Amino acid sequence: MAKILVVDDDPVSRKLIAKVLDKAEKGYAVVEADSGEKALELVPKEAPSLILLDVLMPNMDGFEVCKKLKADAKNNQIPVLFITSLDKTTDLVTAFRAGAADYITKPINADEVKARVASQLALRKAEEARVEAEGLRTLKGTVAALNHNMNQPLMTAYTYLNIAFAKMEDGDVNRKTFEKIKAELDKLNQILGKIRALEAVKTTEYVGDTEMLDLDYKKDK
Amino acid sequence: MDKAEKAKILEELGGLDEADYDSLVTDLIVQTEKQLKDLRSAISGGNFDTAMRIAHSIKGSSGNLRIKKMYEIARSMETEAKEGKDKAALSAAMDLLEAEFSALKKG
Repeated sequence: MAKILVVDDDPVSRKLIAKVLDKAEKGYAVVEADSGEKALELVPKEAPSLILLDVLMPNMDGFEVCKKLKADAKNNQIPVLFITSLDKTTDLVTAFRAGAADYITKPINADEVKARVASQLALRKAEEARVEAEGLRTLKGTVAALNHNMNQPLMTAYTYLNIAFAKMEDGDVNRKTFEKIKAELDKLNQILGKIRALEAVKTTEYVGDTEMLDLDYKKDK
Repeated sequence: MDKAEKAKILEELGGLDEADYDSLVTDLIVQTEKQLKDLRSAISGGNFDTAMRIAHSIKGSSGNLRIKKMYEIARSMETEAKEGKDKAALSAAMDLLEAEFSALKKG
């Protein structure tokens, strides 16, 4: 259940917004703050999915609260929707410059509040999925490159070791050293084998300039 | 406020229960009582910034609960305190606001 922080120094407006969200079909958990300072205190503790923020409040106004949240790397991804009776263009511009995701004017209409909240939550979810997919793509690419870059010199080393062993006499003083090297290379080969065995990385035949490793990520596994 | 009007308000407020709405109006009456005293005092003292902030707050709460006349008067007072800064106009509006508030308290 998405958690929404409602920030307003006016208890009547705050309670009303909380009731509207409480009655929404999607079902939200609502946390209330009666000041900008209290909101900044609650954000790290409650980790809300979205913040509904009034503008005119004593001591610290909503614009300042929003700027502070947007400057904080841990919380700057939380969408902030201003909900205010300031309805001039300059107020709206100031809100968006402070980092607002949206702007709702009072008197509130319940359907509008619910629709704007749902829309921002959906956008945030999509953005999180995009970041996750991008991270996964980078990881797969890096693992494939790692496998490729280590496999090639390993195979070359095996080739020269085999040549050396073939030419070596039984009592050769270097045999033990070469055997130790082979044992260490075998360990490395085993690790690379495990990486290759992962579903995410699959080797394919090397033809011309085509990629040596094919990423066959099984989404349904 | 007649029944049809109240039903429309409750619908606009997302199907709010009548009991919840009445409870919010009671809260509004309690907080506005003090705000009106502070507002009158700010106007008498020519403290337009404070007057603007209080009128803004009354505008927000009464507007959200669709208490129309109070909302309209508070809205005009906020603008007057911010831009016109006319003490006599604000005092006249204050009388109207207090009258509306008395009517609200009587139900």
